[in-house]
Amino acid sequence: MAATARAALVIAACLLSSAAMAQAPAAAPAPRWPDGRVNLGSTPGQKGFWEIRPGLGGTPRAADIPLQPWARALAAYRTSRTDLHPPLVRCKPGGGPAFFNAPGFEIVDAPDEQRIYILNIAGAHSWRVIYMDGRPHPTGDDLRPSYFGHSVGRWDGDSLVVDTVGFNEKQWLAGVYPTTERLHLTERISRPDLRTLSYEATIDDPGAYTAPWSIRWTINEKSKSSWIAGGEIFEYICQGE
Amino acid sequence: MTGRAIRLWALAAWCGLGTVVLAHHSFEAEFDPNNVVNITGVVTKLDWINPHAFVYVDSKSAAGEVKRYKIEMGPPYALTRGGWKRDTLKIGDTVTVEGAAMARDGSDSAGSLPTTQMKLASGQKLTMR
Repeated sequence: MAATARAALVIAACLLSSAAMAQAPAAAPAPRWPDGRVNLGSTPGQKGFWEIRPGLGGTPRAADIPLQPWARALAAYRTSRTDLHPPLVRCKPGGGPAFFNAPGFEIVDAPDEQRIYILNIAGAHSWRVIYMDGRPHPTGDDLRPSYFGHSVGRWDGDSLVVDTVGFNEKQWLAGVYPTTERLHLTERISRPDLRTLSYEATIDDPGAYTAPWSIRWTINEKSKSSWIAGGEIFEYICQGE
Repeated sequence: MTGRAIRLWALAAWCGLGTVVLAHHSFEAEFDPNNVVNITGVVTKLDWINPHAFVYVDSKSAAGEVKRYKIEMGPPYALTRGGWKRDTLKIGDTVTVEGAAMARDGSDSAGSLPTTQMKLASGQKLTMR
């Protein structure tokens, strides 16, 4: 059979499987609060948590990232050394995108407090706070660099948009890439249906990169990572050796 | 494989593309998946800790020399999911670790691949990641 004919067959099979998926029963909708906002976590009737299997989102290649020369050299050095590990492997907190690591997390919206918490199972058994009350970021000496920085959130339609500044320089993005205290992180989190969570982080750090760049992943029925219906987060104290 | 076949495979892979899943960042740097061994010996210690558990096995060679192997396993939550229980392993049990990847630095340390199994004293086999 000619290669083109075989390729056509593969494409036809591909389209057919897509069509079959399109005809599958519609996924259960994402839960919503009484005011219509999407609930990214558990509800009384639909409890669960988001499980992450290692490698969610893959590892972006250095060639695809607008690294400044020093940051490119540092990433190459880290990759070349077998005795260097990302902070998370050494039981330090993972900041920004590194926070979303195996085995997973739970998102807890506390409307009365106007805060959203993201509880991480692994790393340093830590949590993030996203202030939803409209407050600005602290400035000057009040913005002390930290692992998670200072996060404020707002809703853009059905997407939670989290704006974070005030990071320290101890996180390794995607397990290898450096950031500086000039990092301004914008994360968009949405839940198109009950079992799907989409994440996009835009890294704007003029201290380490020549342009903003993004990391994306989606947890859904097809990914190894998934919404664990009825599951509960559990104790995971990272001790190292 | 011919160029055509490779293109077809690439197309098929694209068709089913989901989340890219890679091995642990530091695993391949530390352990050599091409230097895989079986280790039979006596369990001397089990560290059931995060992010990775460790088991220590004393293995005696035919010449009578004892090596103390330190074998890295997966995280406890994944081992539990794979069937490991509180009383699965006891100090003094004779076990065989099948298909562990040896450390690249030449030490007596090894890492568990997704295929690495432990054959327990009972004969039962459990994956070590």
